[in-house]
Amino acid sequence: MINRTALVMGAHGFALGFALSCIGFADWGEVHRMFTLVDLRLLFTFVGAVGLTAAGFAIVGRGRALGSRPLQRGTVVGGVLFGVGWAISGACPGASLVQLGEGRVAALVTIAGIVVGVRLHAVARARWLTWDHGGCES
Amino acid sequence: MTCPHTKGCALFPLFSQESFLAIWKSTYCEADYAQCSRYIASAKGEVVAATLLPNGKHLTNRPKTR
Amino acid sequence: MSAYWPWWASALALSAIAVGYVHLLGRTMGVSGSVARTLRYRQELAAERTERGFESDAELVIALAQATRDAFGELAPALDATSVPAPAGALAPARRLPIAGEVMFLAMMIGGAFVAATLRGAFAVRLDMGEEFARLVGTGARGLGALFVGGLLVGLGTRLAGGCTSGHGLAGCARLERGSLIATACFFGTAILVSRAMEMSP
Repeated sequence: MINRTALVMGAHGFALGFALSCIGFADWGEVHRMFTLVDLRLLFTFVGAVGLTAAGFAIVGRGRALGSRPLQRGTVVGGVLFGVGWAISGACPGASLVQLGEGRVAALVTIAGIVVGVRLHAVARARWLTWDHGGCES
Repeated sequence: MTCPHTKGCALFPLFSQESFLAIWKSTYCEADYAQCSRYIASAKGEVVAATLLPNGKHLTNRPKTR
Repeated sequence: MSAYWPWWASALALSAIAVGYVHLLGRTMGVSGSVARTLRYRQELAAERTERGFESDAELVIALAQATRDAFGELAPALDATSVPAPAGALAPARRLPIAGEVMFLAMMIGGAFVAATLRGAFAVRLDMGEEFARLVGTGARGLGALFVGGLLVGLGTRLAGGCTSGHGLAGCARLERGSLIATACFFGTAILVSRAMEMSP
C-alpha cells in the first residue's frame, strides 16, 4: 500500500511542513500582521510564490495539461467562511498541522474544528448540496 | 445532452474505444446520464471507483488463468 | 524583527515544492483536499481495493464485455486477453493518488515542522498561541473555543470553495484559474477585514 508515489507525497509533505515553519506561517502573530498589512513579508512571499509557481508550471508543462476546474457554486461563500476562520484561528489547514509540529498543542483543537467542519460539509453535500460539482474526482 | 463528467471519467474512454461498449454511452453518457451511478455518487461527494458501472454494479476481475 | 526566512527564499521554497508536486505526481498540491480524502479513508481504501484487481485498462475492457452481456444481453463478444488491443490514443485519465500517500503527506507536514522548529530551537510544547492571539482573541476556554470555531469555519469553507491556500491560493492562482482567483480574493479579503475588526474592537 505504501508505494513509491506515497513516499514522494510524504517527502513533499515533509518539505512543506519544514518550509512553512521556517517561513513563520504557523505563527499566529505573523499571519495576523500579514492580514493587517503591518508586515508585508508574508504577503510578498505569497505573491512571489504564485509568480514563481506560474513560471515553474510553464516550464514543466504539466500544469496546463491538467485541465481547468469548473467554478464551484460554493466558492464565494466558502471563501468568506474560510477567511473568517483563518483570521480567528490563524490556521489555513496546513498551518494547523505545522503549529502542531512546533509543539502548539492547542492546534489539536483547531484541527478538531476542521474535522467537524469537513464532516459537516460532507453530510450537507450528500443530503442537500447535490448539485454537479464538476467531476467524479472531488 | 452529454454527461458533463466524461472528461475525467475512468470508464468513458473505454466505452468510446470499443464498439460493443457503445451501448453504455447510448444508454447513459449521451442520454440519461443523471441515472448513472457514477454521476449520482459524484454529485453526493462519494468516492467513485473506476470499477463502478453506470448501472450500479461493480466490475469484478476473473481469476487469472496461468 | 523576525527570525523567519526572507520573503524571496520563502517564495522560492514554496514554489519549488508546488511545482515539484505537479511534475512528479501529475496533480496540484492541496492540503484541504488531502484532509478531506483522509477523513473518508475507508471509502477511499475500498475503492482502491476494487480497482486493484485490474492491472490494466485491457483487463477492464474484458470485464466490461462480460458486464455488458449481463446488463444488456448477448450484444458483446466474449473476450480473452489476446483479443483486446491496447487502448489507442489517449489513455484513461490519471487515477486518484493513493490514499496512503495523502495520509503520509499530512503526517509528514507535522514531522517537517517538528524538525524545522527543533533545528532553530523554537520547538516547545505549550498551550498558548502567542501573545497577539491572547490579546486579540482570548485565553483559556475562550481562546480554545475560538480555535475550534475558527477551525470549523476553515473546514467547512475550504470544502465549499474546493480548496485552501495551497490548492487555490498557490496552485490555482498560478494557473490563473477563475475559481481559484475568486476564492483567493474572497478568503484573503475577508481575513483582512476580520483582522482589522479584531484590532478595532475595545
